[in-house]
Amino acid sequence: MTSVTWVRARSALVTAAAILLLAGAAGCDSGDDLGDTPDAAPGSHGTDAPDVTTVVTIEHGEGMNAAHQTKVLDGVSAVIDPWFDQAFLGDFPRSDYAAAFAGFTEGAAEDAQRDLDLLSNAGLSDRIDSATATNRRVRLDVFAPEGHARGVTANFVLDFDTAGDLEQHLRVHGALYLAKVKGEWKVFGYDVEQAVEL
Amino acid sequence: MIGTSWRRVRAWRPFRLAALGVVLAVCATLAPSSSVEPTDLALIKLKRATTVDVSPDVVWILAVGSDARPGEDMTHTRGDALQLIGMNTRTGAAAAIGVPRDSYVEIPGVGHNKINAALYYGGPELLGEAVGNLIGIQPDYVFITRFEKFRAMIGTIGGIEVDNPISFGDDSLKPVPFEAGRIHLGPWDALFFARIRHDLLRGDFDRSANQQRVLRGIQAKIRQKAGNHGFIEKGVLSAIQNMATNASPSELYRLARAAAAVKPSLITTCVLQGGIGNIGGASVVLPYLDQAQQMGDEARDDATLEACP
Repeated sequence: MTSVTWVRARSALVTAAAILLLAGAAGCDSGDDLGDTPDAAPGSHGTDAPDVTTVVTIEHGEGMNAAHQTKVLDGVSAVIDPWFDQAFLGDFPRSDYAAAFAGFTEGAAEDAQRDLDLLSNAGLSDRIDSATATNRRVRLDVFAPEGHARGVTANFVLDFDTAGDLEQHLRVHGALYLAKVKGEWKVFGYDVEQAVEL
Repeated sequence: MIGTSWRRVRAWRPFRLAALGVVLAVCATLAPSSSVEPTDLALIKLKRATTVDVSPDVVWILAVGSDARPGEDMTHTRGDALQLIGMNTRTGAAAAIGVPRDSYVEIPGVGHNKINAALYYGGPELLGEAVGNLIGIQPDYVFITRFEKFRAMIGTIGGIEVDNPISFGDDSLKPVPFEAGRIHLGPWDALFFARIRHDLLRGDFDRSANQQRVLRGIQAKIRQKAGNHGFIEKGVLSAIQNMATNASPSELYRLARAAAAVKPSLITTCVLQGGIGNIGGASVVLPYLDQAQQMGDEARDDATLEACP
């Protein structure tokens, strides 16, 4: 099993904390353990909350060297982070979520619009002023024949606090399926469960 | 023509809370009565959004079991098992049309011969074209495997379960017959289940139906384990190592996710029927050409066979 960590850190402190937290999480094999080590204390709200970064790990990526792993981590993060930010986090209300699915294939993006209530905070939009992440964690299973990544399952957990009429600590989790399209990672499928209150 | 275009899948997902619901229902039934008003128990079924985009909507794959022996090129021997498989990526339906290997047909550029000889004469493309002409559906992909590689793939997924309608065996391959009913097949048994025909009442036609039972078992296992971390990734790696195909690794990965999204209740299968003849001293199947085209017309656009003719 390969286990590699990539932290899209906005500060050295957060990076170090994330790596330490990850050391305890690596090697687990259930979806829920992704969310067991939040990067910030639950209950923090709005702009006062710390800047939480996405912790991305590769669990299955046999055959890839360090350079390829870094490319995969970087490329996949560049798709998932904008989705987290544009679909679930930031200021509300909002009505246009198209930017959230820029990293999806055309067909998957169309379906995401159909499934907007689960693929975004559209269902809460009118009741919240903002949503702030407390935990962003992604674990990758990489299909890498001959060491070259061709497909990825990204198992994710996103915890966030909402502020406004509805103040809740929520978790959304699931999996995104990605493949390269014209050299860029794209989400071609997903399996996402309805957000639940923690 | 063997294309490489993508098809789209609209997916499915099982309900994880079904088991929990049963447990809660039993607990509620068995719980002792109390004078205290019990708290209402509400079981909330979480919604789930799923999709797999493998556009366009219906993808067709010719799955071939080659009879290549050790040292032979499996892409230029005879294709023994021939199954034309469609997946409707929008509905989750899938269909398989079994073609008897001895079907006597026109092979483009070769003339009349048994259809499985097309692989020998022209490789996967010619076999795909011959089957495509017979059914009226040109496959997008051709997957070819052979005995030991098929076993390896079955081993990778931990064996399969099939519903076997009748006990059968084979003096040399399977002296202890397969029992009727739902049975587990490991790598060797899955191969024998798909190969044996002498003990079957209708020979190659029944064998083709058994191959479709194996395909159902494989799909069910993929669907069951698709959520396990790394299962799809390892499975597609195994497929690459054990199959010859015109699909790229990336296409295979997406097709695997599409296969996992197929709903077992929407799988339909038929075997092309025909008469038995003798041409040049060789026993052949004279396929019912109208039936072949009828199946193709029925399943082409939605991967669904309403009923076998």
